[in-house]
Amino acid sequence: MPRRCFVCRCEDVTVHELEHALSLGFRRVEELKRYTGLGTGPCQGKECLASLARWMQAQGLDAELPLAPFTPRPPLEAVSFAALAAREDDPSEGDPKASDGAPE
Amino acid sequence: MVVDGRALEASAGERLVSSLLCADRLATSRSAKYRRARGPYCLRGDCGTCLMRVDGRSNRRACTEAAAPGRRLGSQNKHRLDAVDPSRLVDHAFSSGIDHHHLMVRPRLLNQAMQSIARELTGFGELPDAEAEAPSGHLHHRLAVLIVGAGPAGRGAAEVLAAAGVEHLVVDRRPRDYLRAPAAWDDPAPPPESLLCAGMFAAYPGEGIFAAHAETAPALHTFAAAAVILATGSRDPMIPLPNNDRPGVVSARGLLELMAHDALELEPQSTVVVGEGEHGRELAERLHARWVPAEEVADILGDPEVRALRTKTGERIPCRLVALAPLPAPAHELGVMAGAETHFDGHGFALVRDAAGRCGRMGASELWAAGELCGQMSPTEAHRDGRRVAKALLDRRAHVPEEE
Repeated sequence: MPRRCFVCRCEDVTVHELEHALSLGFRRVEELKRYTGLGTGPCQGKECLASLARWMQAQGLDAELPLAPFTPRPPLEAVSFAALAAREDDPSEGDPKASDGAPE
Repeated sequence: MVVDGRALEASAGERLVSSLLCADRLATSRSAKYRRARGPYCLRGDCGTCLMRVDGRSNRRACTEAAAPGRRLGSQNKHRLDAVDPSRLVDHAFSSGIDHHHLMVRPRLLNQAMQSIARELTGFGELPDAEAEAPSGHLHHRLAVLIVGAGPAGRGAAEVLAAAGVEHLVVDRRPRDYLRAPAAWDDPAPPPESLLCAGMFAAYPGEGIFAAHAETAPALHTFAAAAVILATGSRDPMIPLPNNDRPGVVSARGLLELMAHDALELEPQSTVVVGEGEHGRELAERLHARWVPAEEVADILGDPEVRALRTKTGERIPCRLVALAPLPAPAHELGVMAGAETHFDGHGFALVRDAAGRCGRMGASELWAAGELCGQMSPTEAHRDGRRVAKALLDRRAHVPEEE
């Protein structure tokens, strides 16, 4: 296996590829995300975004503009289509005291 | 249990990842681009590389599913990891990297051929064998205070609200038995009484609701609360090291949690700890393991599973696991989705809050933030912070009860 140094393992984005993107003039979190695909895999940036931001700070990229995260979008946790399809206009009231939120 | 057709020994109730770890079977998939073997990293539900097909259902996390007799586990790739997979040559053929903006884009016929091959080889598994057993229901919760996260800060906040008799509910994605198990290093307080085990997957500012998905009693839960205390804690970002993607590179915090909850036992010489985070110090002490600063790591060796770590001084340290202990980064996503601001604090994106702990509004809900979500702090400090924020919330309710 060639020696590679990963920032985003979901989408196979290495430090080398970030350096390449930087050499092409991409200097913002959003730009680097869009060019490399970083943060667009199953974890949606939970593993790589802070790592990217730390690397950008080390490159001095936070000097012109403060670093900002890319936009988080649902779903943040795994959710089944069955659960999404279960949405009702007039749902039952959950019981906050019940152990699983469902009326006993 | 069975993994890719071979027997896998396990203790009932432990996380699947614990069983895989004990059996030294940590490779779970091939990566999307370079087709390298991948395995679990975070061990606590954040990263995306322990996804497996379990009992005929795809994209199950080995780090959150529990072991039970007869469970069938498998990798999701078209070719099993131990079988001949021609796509593994991609890693060697493109040793200097792939720029997918230019790779085989022209001529068009070559691009079409490449696309069809890539679609065959990648992807995240096939459809389930059968329809979901129980149809999901929808429960809507209207309440005074919603707390997101049952870690130290969420527990601290819940204690204060329970003592004051204020209606509240704590939502956490981890199962109840997992939250109840003792883990002295990270739990300054017992789990809250009023607890819903469900993964909070979204905030919808337009409708003013939060939404969660419960697995055990399958249901969609939505929440409309007068106040929401965000206590989502922190995550362990990847440390960019040479070959940090080998199966066997795991997070030190995740490993500590498995040791506490699954009574996972590791041989003293099996693990090398890398990184300056507090969890690394704790793990190195417990295992009498070597602790190496990240900047001194030259390479992680093994094919594909970790077998050794080489330092820049040329020392080769044999090991089965490389436990990374990065400084944690705030789990900011839900807060940002709800409309809160962040600032980069050198480690990650911490939520911005006022002196009391308020971090904005989402519709009729006042948003509060507590614990590691707002910056680095120890579990004890996070617990105290959760209590402080809940007291500030009660104080505000007492003084401006009819604000809306």
